[in-house]
Amino acid sequence: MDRRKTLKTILGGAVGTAFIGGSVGCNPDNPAPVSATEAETEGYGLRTAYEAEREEQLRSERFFSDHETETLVVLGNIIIPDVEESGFSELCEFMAKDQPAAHATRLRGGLAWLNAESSRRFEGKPFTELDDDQRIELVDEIAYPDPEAKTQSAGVRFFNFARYMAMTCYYTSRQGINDLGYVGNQANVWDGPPQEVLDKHGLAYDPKWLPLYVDQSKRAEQVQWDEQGNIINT
Amino acid sequence: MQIKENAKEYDAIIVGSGAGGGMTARRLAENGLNIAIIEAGPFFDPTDKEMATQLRWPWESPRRGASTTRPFGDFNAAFGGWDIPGEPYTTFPGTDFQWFRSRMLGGRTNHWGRISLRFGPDDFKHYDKDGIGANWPITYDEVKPWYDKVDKLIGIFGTNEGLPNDPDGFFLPPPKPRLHEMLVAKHAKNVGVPFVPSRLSIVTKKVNDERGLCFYCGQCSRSCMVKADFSSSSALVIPAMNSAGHVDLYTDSMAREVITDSTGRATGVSYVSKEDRREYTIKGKVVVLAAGACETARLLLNSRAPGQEQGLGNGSGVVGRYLHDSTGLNVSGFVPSLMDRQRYNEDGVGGLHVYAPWWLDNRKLDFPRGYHIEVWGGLGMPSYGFGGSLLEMQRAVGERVGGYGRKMLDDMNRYYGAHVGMAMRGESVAMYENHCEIDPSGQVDEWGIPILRFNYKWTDYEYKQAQHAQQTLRGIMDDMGAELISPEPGKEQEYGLLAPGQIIHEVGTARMGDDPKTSVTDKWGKLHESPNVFISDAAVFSSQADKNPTWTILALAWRQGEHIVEELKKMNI
Ligand SMILES: Cc1cc2nc3c(=O)[nH]c(=O)nc-3n(C[C@H](O)[C@H](O)[C@H](O)COP(=O)(O)OP(=O)(O)OC[C@H]3O[C@@H](n4cnc5c(N)ncnc54)[C@H](O)[C@@H]3O)c2cc1C
Ligand code: SF4
Repeated sequence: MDRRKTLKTILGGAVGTAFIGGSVGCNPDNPAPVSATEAETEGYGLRTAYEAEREEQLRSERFFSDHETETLVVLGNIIIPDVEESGFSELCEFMAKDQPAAHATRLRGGLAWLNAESSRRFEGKPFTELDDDQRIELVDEIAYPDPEAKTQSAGVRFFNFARYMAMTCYYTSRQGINDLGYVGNQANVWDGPPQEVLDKHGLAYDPKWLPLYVDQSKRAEQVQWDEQGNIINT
Repeated sequence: MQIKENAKEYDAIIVGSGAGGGMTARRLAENGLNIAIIEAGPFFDPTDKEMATQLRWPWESPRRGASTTRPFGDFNAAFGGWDIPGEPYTTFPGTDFQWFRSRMLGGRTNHWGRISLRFGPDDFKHYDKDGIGANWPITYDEVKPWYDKVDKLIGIFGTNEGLPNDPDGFFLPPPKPRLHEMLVAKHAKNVGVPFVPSRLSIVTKKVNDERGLCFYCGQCSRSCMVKADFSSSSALVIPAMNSAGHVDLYTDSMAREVITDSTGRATGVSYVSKEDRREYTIKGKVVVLAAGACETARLLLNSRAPGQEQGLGNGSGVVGRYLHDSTGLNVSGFVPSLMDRQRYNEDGVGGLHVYAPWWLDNRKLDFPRGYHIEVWGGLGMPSYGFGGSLLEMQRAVGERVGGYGRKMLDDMNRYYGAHVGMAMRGESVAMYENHCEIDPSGQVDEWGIPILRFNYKWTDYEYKQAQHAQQTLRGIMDDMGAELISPEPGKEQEYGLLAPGQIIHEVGTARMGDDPKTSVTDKWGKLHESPNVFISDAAVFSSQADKNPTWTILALAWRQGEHIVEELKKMNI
């Protein structure tokens, strides 16, 4: 039986086979059902049928209007320069549908507030039609919440959330990860923090455990223990 | 509905392929038996590149890793969570019980924390020590050889510390601690809390030919494609399928009940195929239940035998009773001395490199059971929500709060890696009143199977422990100079205790014991009331410990597997 086929059926959202017979290899007595419709993976690892169908549905819907999206782009790029290149409006659109309770009205209502405020102050113009100075004037009023305040204005609340979305978007993109200096998510060998880092923080390994930590040059050698469980070939 | 019968009779049918089911399956298969595994979820093999979420980047997910459909994020390897569409459960008024389920080959072991702690001598005999709860019918010494075998087969790193109730084992060498872990350990020591290298089932040094070596990506919760972490799928079930025995794996098959003859002997298991939603039965000489503690109780309560109308093996009335989870609470803060950190790859293993096993004597305290402390932090990979605490951190260091543009990004970059947290994980006392039962309203899940209802309340034992833990964890944080994220929770907030079920260590629903009047299984995990039905998950736990349960599930399942083989050979079953 071709296990890859079985797998594909699961990936594609169709119900997977209910039987995988015998050993992992081929078992002609118990062939997988052939009803499988094959589909490509979405590109971020195995999804359940429920997840795959849900995502397809979300992608077929549209939440924000063109003008709302445009406003998001302008605002996002003020919060973080060029954050649109990290996929800002697309992320907002997806999250508004994916977690509507947390995102949809917060973003849509916030954008409406922004345009109303902009229009009230600047001769009926929406935020997107303001010049740079006017935009900054408006943004500066809502970008600095008073940490001691007991109440919060609609503008501050919206900007906090827009900032949150922009930060998430940026730092989960290649640009932001480079900016941050995160250098992991790849095969490597951990051997403790660099010595100068330990020195800077005034920390040192406990001499009791130092000889017990894994010797990374010998990790491919099969471990051997004495009867008490002490490793005899660290 | 027509029930389809399969004429073949297996030596054993195992329900569930997590820690318990996987280990039993491997033991039986390697002894040449002919077995069937019934698993509610799909096939899953972490080594399959197409399935893997390991080493993917946050932007590959349209939600940037947010936890919409997976409680621990979009790349987490759990197919399931607290809520599974079509598979509800209910609670008594006033109960907030959270039931985490994973429907897939390997169950919750594909994404668990790999914290692998043996229970100690006191943990098996706690009633003798303090008169609370119940003793196990077995001792540490009886389980020790099985723990040893599990260590050697699966691989676990740690150090032999010679602690009285946190036994030594056959450990692989531990990784060096991370920066924040060294800092926490130092300040914990200042306030009298000793940290030691952690004990995780991750292969840091070659353990045998089956398993790969950890390459330190910190992503065990995504399940490891080189099999350097323990997942039942890759480390037990798939090897079982390649062994001397014959293994038929029925995936996407939801077991409904154990079928018995007129004497209470099991003859098979019925299940609903998720493919065609029809009911099937397979036959076996032995039935092993390992669907997870609550699901196993549900199977028993939904099964009947003559004279066993309250559920199979439930003459004692304690099936579903004594349900208990570990206690848990978290404290986190911003550590100014960790600002402006030099960057380097600090992913490490997929879990903590240090922890604090319970270090005090409960006889001198006003609560009966202990807890251990876990720690987190570091230069981790960003995911949805990254930077969410920017404003609090700005406030903590006296920066102008808020802003945008380059200045804001520079602030964030300075704070990266300065957020540190600690978690208390403790032992709760098993109570008769805390239980799951079949929901009396007649509600069924989408497979037509009656669902569970939960009743669970913490008691003063747990509240006092939580208060102690709050003070301890906050004390360590203070000593580190940390700005705590939230004020100490009081009585109204249950001292910060998380809801039962949230620590995902639920145990005890079919506890073992010598007395059939007060327990469900004997010391082998066999039902007192049926000669051939065994339980190999944490349902049999007579009590929890201040340790996570899985290493004990594995040791007991290995022990039980050998017992079943012998009993079959001796024709005792
Ligand atoms: C995020 C997380 C972190 C954890 N961290 C740790 C840790 O660090 N240390 C530790 O010791 N433990 C930890 N645990 C707990 C650990 O995962 C469990 O103790 C362990 O997996 C239990 O094994 P099990 O075999 O009893 O059940 P599971 O692993 O849940 O397996 C049960 C299997 O049975 C299947 N099943 C259920 N119902 C049916 C049915 N009706 N018919 C057929 N099949 C069925 C399920 O699909 C599943 O595959 C953690 C759990 C989670 C979720
Ligand atoms: S940390 Fe190690 S064991 Fe865990 S997934 Fe990464 S490589 Fe595998």
